[in-house]
Amino acid sequence: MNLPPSLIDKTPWQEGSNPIWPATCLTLRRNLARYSFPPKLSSSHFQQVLTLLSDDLLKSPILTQPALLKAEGLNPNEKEFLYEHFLCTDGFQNTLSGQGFIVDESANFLALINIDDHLQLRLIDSQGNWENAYNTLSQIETDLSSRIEYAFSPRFGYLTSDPRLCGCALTAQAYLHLPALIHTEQLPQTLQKQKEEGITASGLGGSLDDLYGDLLVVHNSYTLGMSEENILRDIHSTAMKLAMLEKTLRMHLKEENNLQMKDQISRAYGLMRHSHQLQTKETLSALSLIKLGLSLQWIEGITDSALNTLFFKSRRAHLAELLSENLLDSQEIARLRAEFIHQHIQSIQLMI
Amino acid sequence: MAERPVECTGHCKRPIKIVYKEIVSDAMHVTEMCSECPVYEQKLHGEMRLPRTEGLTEAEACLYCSNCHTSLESVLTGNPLGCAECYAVFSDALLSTLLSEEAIPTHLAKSISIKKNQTLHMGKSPHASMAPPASGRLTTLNEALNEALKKENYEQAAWLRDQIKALIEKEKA
Repeated sequence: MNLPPSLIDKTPWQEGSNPIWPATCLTLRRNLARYSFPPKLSSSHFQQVLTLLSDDLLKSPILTQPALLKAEGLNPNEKEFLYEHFLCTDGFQNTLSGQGFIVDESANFLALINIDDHLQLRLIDSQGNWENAYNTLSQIETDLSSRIEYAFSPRFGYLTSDPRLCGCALTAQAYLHLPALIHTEQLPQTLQKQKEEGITASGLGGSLDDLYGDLLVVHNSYTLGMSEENILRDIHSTAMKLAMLEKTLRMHLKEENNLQMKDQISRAYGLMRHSHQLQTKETLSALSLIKLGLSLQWIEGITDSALNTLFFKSRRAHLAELLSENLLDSQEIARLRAEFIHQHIQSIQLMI
Repeated sequence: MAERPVECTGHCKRPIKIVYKEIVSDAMHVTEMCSECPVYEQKLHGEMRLPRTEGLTEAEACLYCSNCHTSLESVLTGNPLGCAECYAVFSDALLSTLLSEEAIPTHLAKSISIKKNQTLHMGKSPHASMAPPASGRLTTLNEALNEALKKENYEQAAWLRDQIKALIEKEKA
């Protein structure tokens, strides 16, 4: 096993304080001025850039016990684990020698080296302190800039291999858990009303049709022509409005004792309690409804944090790491997932 | 250490995943591609972002970055840029692509149409000390509170008032 134990033990949202807005993830992209971008980088330069950046990041006083994970040293399951843990949109299965990852003990920080760009700094905030998260990323980036020259042009800003990401090269993603808006089919009209230029909404799968676990990801559409501050302000404003609508709708569902929602939550409870096989998508959907039930006090005996942990740990690569098994057979994965869920939801009670 | 596999024959420089054999008349053509290659998309689904050569002069259509040998045609087909120099070499073409793909805010797109050399980057510059972002959170919450009160949505207003109080207390602490 090559992944640090802290990464396997901790899940990014387990300390989350807001059940509707569990996390915000910030990503900063940078390239080095002296080297071609990764799509055109020679093998020897891949190694040089990896050494240069990892040496500096491993000494960073801002990170707690950072560790370098070289791509060639990770097995496919471990790469998938990183993809699941940090909710990345692209997988890392094609990563090879000269590419790597740096993680630290917080289990919220990930640096991607030589993947699309020379450096991507990714930080997940689950405490609602995204200004602090941005300051942390900015500090790491500024520290590096004292020894490394970034590819920058006054006109296009920080230069990235994908020109649509140049400029400030900052992406902010707010993860919102919106089961009430989604299950009452109010999300499309809400998004239409709240539509703001420069903000895009999608599901975990990348489009609005893939709202796995009833999670909506709100992120900035522009990096060029936007300041870091404007991006953060716009994302906060949109995410807050959506969270507020979800909260109000939850209150109404509880007040009116909504039968349809009670039925859906009860079915999710039954599915999690009595299934012999559970697929990822149905697990995430059921967990989402149990989370909703908990906030409406129709479910008791578990915490929101425990459900957030299950949200991560029931995914394929997480299960494989936890059970120390190489899970290749989909039937077997589904069986082990159902068993794992049964063990962890034994204490929950339906109060409907 | 794992060897880096032979790279895509397109412009992608990614490892080969697909060997595509095509028989035309009596001749067999073999193309080796990565899985994300635009050439692969074209071969398999007939979809490919065609090089937007309209409006480009002959000289522009043959533009190459002297540093990394990336061609403008390759960039316009959807391949990534190869180095910082590419931005200088393909500057105008990149800008029109970003405008046509609506990858620039509308206000900026408008001012570009008036002033060609408009500065596009609005963020921080290297070595410029970055002040911590001023918390726009309180402003946003106050705006939302006013909106909720206007709409007489007292449930939301009460929640927002609690959020504002909590934020002020947190900032004081």
